[in-house]
Amino acid sequence: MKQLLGIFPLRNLHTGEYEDAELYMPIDGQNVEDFETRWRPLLDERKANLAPHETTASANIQDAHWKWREKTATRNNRMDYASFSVECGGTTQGLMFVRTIDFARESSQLNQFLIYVDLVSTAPWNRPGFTDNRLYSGVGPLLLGTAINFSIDQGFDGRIGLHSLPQSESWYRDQCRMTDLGPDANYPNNLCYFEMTAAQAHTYITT
Amino acid sequence: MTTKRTMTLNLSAQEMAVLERLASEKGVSKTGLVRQALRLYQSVTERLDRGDKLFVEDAEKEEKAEIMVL
Repeated sequence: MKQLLGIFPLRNLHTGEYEDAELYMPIDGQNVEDFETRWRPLLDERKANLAPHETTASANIQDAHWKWREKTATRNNRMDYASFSVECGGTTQGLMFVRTIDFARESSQLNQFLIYVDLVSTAPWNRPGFTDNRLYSGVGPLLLGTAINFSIDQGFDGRIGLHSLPQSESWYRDQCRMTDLGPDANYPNNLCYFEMTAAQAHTYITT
Repeated sequence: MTTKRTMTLNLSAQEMAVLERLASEKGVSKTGLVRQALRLYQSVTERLDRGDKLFVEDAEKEEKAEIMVL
């Protein structure tokens, strides 16, 4: 059964008002249903109708193939994974899986435990690039902050790591101030690996 | 973030020394280290149960050795 972790404000860009969003763990069946019935049709339609000048990266849909239903079914009883959802406005606005058994690669924290952000997505209607009329802002930062706080809760001092899709690299590097350790030759598609140190995590959650 | 339960763990002096050393090296509590060991063991066991194999690789010699897990 999912547990309410807290209430956080999300800005509704249509009204300019802040609304209460609920942060839960773990991802539950309703979140998966929201993905399948509300997110996926929009992602598939956007992918099928890309303009000639657009790419899946510029349209912010490189995660459209992620299998949230299957992963939720196989991971929710395991201790090496944890999952989180953000709900607001009557539906799921964000989803995240993290892994708990990984080790840091950045030299200042080499081989220390960290929380590895395996999958993180915000609803398509919240994404720049996907639409010019986004609904909520702040879902991604809330989920990344959740990963940091989970890391602190586990005794890992806020350390997190992740592989970024090309569409998100600049956000992790320039907005989140994570350390870019470059393309990972041992990861599919050589995605770039990013890590947040304890100091960077402290800065992130206090500013 | 989840409800915790308490148990007593009886370890030999050597086991306790290893636990204390690893916890210190990893910067976590002894409870935290045991928790990580349990997570890792469950993860490895689940993969082995699916038919996967576990290897360690010598990065310099590029040699791989399979680890047998009980």
